[in-house]
Amino acid sequence: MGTSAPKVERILEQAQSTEDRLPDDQHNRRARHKDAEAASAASASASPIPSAAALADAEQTLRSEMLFSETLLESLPGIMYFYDSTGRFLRWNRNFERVSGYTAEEIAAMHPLEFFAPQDRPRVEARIAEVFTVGESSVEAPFQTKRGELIPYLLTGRRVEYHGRTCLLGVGIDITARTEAQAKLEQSERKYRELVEHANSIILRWDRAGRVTFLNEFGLRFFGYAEEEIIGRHVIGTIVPKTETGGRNLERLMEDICARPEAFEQSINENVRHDGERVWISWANRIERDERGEPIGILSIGTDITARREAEERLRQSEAHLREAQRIAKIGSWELDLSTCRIKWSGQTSEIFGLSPAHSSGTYQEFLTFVHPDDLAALEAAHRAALEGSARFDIQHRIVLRDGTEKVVHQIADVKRENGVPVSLAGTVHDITDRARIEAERERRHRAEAADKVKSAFLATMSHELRTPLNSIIGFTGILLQELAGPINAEQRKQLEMVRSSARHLLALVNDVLDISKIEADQLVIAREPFDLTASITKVLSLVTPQAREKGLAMHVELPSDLGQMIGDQRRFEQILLNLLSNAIKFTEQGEIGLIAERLSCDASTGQAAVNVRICDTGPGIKAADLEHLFEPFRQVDSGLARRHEGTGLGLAICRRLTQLMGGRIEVESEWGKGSTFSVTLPLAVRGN
Amino acid sequence: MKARILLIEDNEQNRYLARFLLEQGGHEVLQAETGPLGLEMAARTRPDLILLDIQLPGMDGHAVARTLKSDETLRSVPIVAVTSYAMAGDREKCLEAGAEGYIEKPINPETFLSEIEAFLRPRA
Repeated sequence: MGTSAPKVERILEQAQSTEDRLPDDQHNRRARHKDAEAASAASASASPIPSAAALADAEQTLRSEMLFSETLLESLPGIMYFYDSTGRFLRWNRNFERVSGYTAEEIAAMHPLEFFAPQDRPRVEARIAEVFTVGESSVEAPFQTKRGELIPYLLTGRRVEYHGRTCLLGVGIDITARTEAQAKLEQSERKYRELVEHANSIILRWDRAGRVTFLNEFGLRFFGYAEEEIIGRHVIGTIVPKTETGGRNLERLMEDICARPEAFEQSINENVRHDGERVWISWANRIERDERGEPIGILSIGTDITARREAEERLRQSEAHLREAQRIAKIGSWELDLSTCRIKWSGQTSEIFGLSPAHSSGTYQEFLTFVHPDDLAALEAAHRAALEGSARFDIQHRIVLRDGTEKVVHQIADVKRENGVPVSLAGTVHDITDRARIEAERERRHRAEAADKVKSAFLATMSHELRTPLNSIIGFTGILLQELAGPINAEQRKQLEMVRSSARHLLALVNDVLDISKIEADQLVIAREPFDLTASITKVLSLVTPQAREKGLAMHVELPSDLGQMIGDQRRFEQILLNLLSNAIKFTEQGEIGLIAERLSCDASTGQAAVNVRICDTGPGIKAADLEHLFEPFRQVDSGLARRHEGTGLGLAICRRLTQLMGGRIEVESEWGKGSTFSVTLPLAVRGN
Repeated sequence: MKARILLIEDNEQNRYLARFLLEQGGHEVLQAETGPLGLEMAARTRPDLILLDIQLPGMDGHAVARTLKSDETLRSVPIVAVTSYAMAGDREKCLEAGAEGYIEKPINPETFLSEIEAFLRPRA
């Protein structure tokens, strides 16, 4: 206290000067302090009687002390009050009057609890009781003023023994500012908490180890967890699957995020709900760091984009289906904006017009450059008619691509009108090039078939018309030569035989011409019936052997008795052999005619079981230059010979066509002047036609 | 065995030729120029064999054969088709229409009679 003595002096002086300036009410208040003064006096009177000087000194000291405590009380920023255990106010400072708004008289008559609202009174009362029993206590409570205002106060009370009475010395500090700040903080916190809790986003905090430290209510509801089920658990295996459906491994997600945070500021992951349902979430991730900058966790805010992704996927698929449908159908789509004359078109339209897929719009004029010049007028007329509304735009026309390719397209379009005014033309373009080609081909085939029918009918008629008189000639000649109509003389017989020979030759010519015509007109049917090869060849040999014998030619035959069966056209088979043998005999003047037949279990060129018949002669042979034309129709070699050897020149051509029709082949080897060998190879099972 | 043979043939010379040869065999020959006449005659005379030209004007031989084969009383009469078509499938067409035999024109006068007689069956 010694060090503060000069200060005390100063305060005393100030108090004195203050007292001199005290207004009346202050003086009145003095009077209210009479108890205290009386107490001082009592205290002084209790001591042994001092000297007058000592008394004056003591009084001086007392005055100073009183002045000091008075000044102290009044300079306190808060309120001060002093009351006894019955609640009777003994003293208070001016602040108490000012804050409460009550006059000194009023305060003196009031109970301390009257300065509190009824609802706060029990609480305050308990604290007051505590002061009297324990010695001190404090309470935060609103201080109620005369006007009913409630001011937050921190009140501190201390038990004081005063003149044998137990009293309470209380000090109150206005904590309005602090309370307001706290309330604001709380409000702000509540606001943010509500924001976090009720945000329509998942808010997740997870630590460095990958454990969930916080998940907001929305997140809990979204993932289907109760708070206690998820907090503290690792994200992998709970809300993050080990692998995405697409195969991406998420086990190292945490490390990845910490290693490359910038790459994960926005990320899209597949997550999983408690019930196992997979969901797609778009996350914003922010790494939280400690004061040293070390990552301690991640704050992630997620939005469920499953539905969006599904919608996008559906849209993507739908577009893909449309593209695919357009591609398969070769139908493109387009729309012409009539105000700008610009056309937008689909990828398939680009494809049809031979443009790159990126080229997806252009002008109407540009489109016209693709139209075949001959179709331009019709197209523009159709366009005009559509806009006038007199006809639907439905036209088939040709287009010429940049590379010169010509295509046929079918376009259909509808005019879109607004208030009756055409605004656009939307349509499809169908590449019908293939269909047009097929139709043209069908048309051609149709005409060809019609022509074939005519040919076929002509051949039938010719066959009938030529054979009918020949039937008479050969028939009656035969009857006469058989003398069925009566005896004939030698000359008549000779002449009739000439008629018959000529008639037979004419018949052979007719047959050959009809045969080749039938082959050319695809009218020849190859039968498929089993027959015995050895027997068939023997029959042909029996027909030609007399002619060979007549010419003095030897017959050399190598014919196994067990060639077996062939499934094919016996008549045509025999026709081929007969033709080749007749030729051999016809062109050979001396020497021999050979026939060698054998069965091939596996024909080298076809791999099938086959029969091979070779017919050799010692005739003049064929010049190498003539060999290549030998099997062509009307190509009998050596016109000089032709006159000597009757024939149509069709025999070999017919033989070759017949062997081909039966799936076989005919070959010739010949040396000029030494003879020829014709070799026929036919499969044992002939395919029908 | 002498038989009654109905000859349906439009060409007069060919008819004469066939009749001549058949009569050489001692057979009775009935003649019809057209299909309808032939059908009428067949129904009336119940021949043992019908020699049927296919290329008849109007009703052709196939139709005649089918009509004969659809008739209860004439179904059993053998038909030998004579054709000068010799076109793809002719033989099959004739057999399908109901003919038992098939002879191509021109006929061979030396074998004709025996070819026809092969189709004759004992009278029912």
